[in-house]
Amino acid sequence: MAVIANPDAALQQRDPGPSRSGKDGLWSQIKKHRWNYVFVAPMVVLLVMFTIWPIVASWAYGFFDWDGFGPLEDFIGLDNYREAAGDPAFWRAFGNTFWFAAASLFVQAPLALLFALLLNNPRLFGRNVYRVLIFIPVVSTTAVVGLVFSVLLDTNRGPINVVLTQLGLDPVNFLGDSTTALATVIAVETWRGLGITMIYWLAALQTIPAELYEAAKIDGAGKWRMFRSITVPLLAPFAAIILLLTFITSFNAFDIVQTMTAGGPNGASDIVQTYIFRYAFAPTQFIPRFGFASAAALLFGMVVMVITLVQILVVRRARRRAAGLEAAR
Amino acid sequence: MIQNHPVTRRRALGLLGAATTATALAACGRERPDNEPTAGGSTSGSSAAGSVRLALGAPNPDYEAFLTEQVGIFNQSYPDVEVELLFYPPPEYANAINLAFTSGEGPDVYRLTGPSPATNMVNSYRNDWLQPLTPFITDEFKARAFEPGTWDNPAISGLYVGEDVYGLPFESMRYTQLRILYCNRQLLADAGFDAPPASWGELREAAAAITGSADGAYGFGISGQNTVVTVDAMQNVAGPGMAGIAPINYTNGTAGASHESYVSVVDLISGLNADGYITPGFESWDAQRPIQEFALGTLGMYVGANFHAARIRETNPDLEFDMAIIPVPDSGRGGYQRVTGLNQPYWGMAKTAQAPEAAWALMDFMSTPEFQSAAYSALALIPALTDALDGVEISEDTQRLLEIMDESIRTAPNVLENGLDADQLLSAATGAAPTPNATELYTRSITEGADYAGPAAEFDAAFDTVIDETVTKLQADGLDVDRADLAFPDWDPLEGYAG
Repeated sequence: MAVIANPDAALQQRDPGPSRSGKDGLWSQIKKHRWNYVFVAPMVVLLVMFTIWPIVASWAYGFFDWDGFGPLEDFIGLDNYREAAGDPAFWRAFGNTFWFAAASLFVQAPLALLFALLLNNPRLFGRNVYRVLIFIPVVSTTAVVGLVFSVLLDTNRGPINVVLTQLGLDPVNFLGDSTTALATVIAVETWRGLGITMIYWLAALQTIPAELYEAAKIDGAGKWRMFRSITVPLLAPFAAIILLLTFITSFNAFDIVQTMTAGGPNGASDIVQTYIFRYAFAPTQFIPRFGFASAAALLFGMVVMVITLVQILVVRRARRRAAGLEAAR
Repeated sequence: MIQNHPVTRRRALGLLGAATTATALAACGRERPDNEPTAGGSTSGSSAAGSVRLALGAPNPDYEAFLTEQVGIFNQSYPDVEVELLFYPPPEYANAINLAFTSGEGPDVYRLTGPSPATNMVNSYRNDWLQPLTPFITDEFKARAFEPGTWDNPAISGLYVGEDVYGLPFESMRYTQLRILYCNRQLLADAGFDAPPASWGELREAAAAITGSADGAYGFGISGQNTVVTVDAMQNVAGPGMAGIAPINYTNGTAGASHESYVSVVDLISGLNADGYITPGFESWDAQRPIQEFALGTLGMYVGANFHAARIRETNPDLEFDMAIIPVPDSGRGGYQRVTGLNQPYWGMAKTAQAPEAAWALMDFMSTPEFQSAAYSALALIPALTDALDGVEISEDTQRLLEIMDESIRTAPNVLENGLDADQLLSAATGAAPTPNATELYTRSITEGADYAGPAAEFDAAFDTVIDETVTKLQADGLDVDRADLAFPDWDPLEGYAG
């Protein structure tokens, strides 16, 4: 292996350093890294076209009474925002969206961890088969999952209600009752997304060296103690990322809601995405309201951003406090 | 010459790409030259030449096969006209047309109807997409068997904006708006009924009897996601015909959600649900589900559209059913199912059409009894030309549909009669209607048993205020609108509106 005796000197030799003129410096930097820019450029162009531009454009659309057709002419200031903020249906959809998020964090993620712990056991017979079975819903088309569950849960002839009836119980109107529709869709979505969260946890679990468990076992530690003192502390750094990913994924429930209930009955399972979709793309009685839909989307984004910021501040303060206590010890 | 272009991802991306580049090019002049079409009208086979791009949202693949075949026939008379057919799935149609016009690649002739009102004749006119057809229309053309009054009564014709014609019909307007009570003959007979119910009282009795007499069958069905179809159809026979999320009573121009006709029909359907005569789980049914349930033989009656009969027969050819007129209130008929014009403007010619003569030749061809007769054979739709079915062997279902159309549909006022600004008032006020809207209120009442009359009255008060505010706003914007634009005091809901 070649060893560079003085790496700084080698760097200085290669890098001409900033020139006297800043312009030349920038140009020489660009020239030096030109192939990097060339390779990155297509992705940047696509990002700008399909991510940045739609986001920025939707900010502008929110200030117009615009149907998505023709020029932006009717500037109405904050009217769309006021209307969305004053619409109880928007806030109900907003609340339902966070029920999805809460279920993903407090039900799906722990359940997935449980399955991951079970399926991480090398002595478990057929564990790869179980892993595949749990992962299959993730790669299934969501619309198909939604339709299949609509059939399974049908009040009149659905197999689940047939079984309930044969057991002497009353059939349950899973998707048609305002009190059960949201919970039902959340349960299906939790089941559907379980596999991917389980894979995250499995990946994290497999970073924990087996030697630690062996050493703990020699020291006489039981399973619970090993979980508490080895697994949990070593999973903790991954948990923040996994929970964040699960939280973000929970905002993609549009297709399952649209196929199972379309937000009904009476808006009971409506989420912000279906609410926006109805105004922008599927109005049945009026011209699309792209401006209003954009305002609703932005309002939702802003509230989520505020909540996230508060969350970051709280976590940071808690960490500082914990660090302070540690230092005091 | 025919070129078929089903919409593929590649084509959609192509259009998107075109949108980004062609905006600049559009300024350079894809505008049609100012050569006005020859007033000679109906183009002779030899004189028309050029290419014509025809776009439509096709509800099913049969349209593609039918139009492809017909273009072949058209080309026998017009060999120099090259027709390119552009088919889009209906949900994507409005966006595709908008994108096409924005990018300067608009079709030459296109379908004005679709699931979104964005491409309808008035909105297309507002977007400056359409050119008037009046210069093309000859006496010979007018002499064809269009609905009487089509050319001499612009107020109710349905094809006019102002004094010019901007659309041509294809399907019968009354056919497209028709609502029917589908009844399972066997279930009705088993429940002791030898004919479909004619009144709401009979409907309730039949629903109760069917639910009680057959295991697993229910008397009545309704889509919980689409209650508007059933409620509006039944309201229309109980009072002045109204429709939609923010109904307006055109006899006096006021909000109509709390009108007695709405309240009574909501009470009727809520009662059917409360008594267990509606199939459980209907609250989450989409618009297709009643068709499936009915075809399975587990649903006694439901209100559906014209095309359901063919769907039901396709799904279950052995099912015996009746198509009946929507039952009327026990106190008697209060109105008819409404159409807001004699014709449904189906085809429009783009302002940017490169070869207007050739485009008109195609539109003219599609307005012949031969074409429309072939459309009946291929697509089972009832055409606009009243003689298109002469000499054609029609099915029993079609015969029944024609009878129901005659008995149960009448023309109602169209706000457009009072001008484009009045139509904009209606559109803007409806778009700004308070929430929850009337449809949401009665859906809640039907599915959950919530009170309707009280909240509907509150909705009407709020919506009347919205209408007044919209009038004020539009007047400030310089539009010639007035609250009276929404009122047609001379209209008798028990008679056809004559303009």
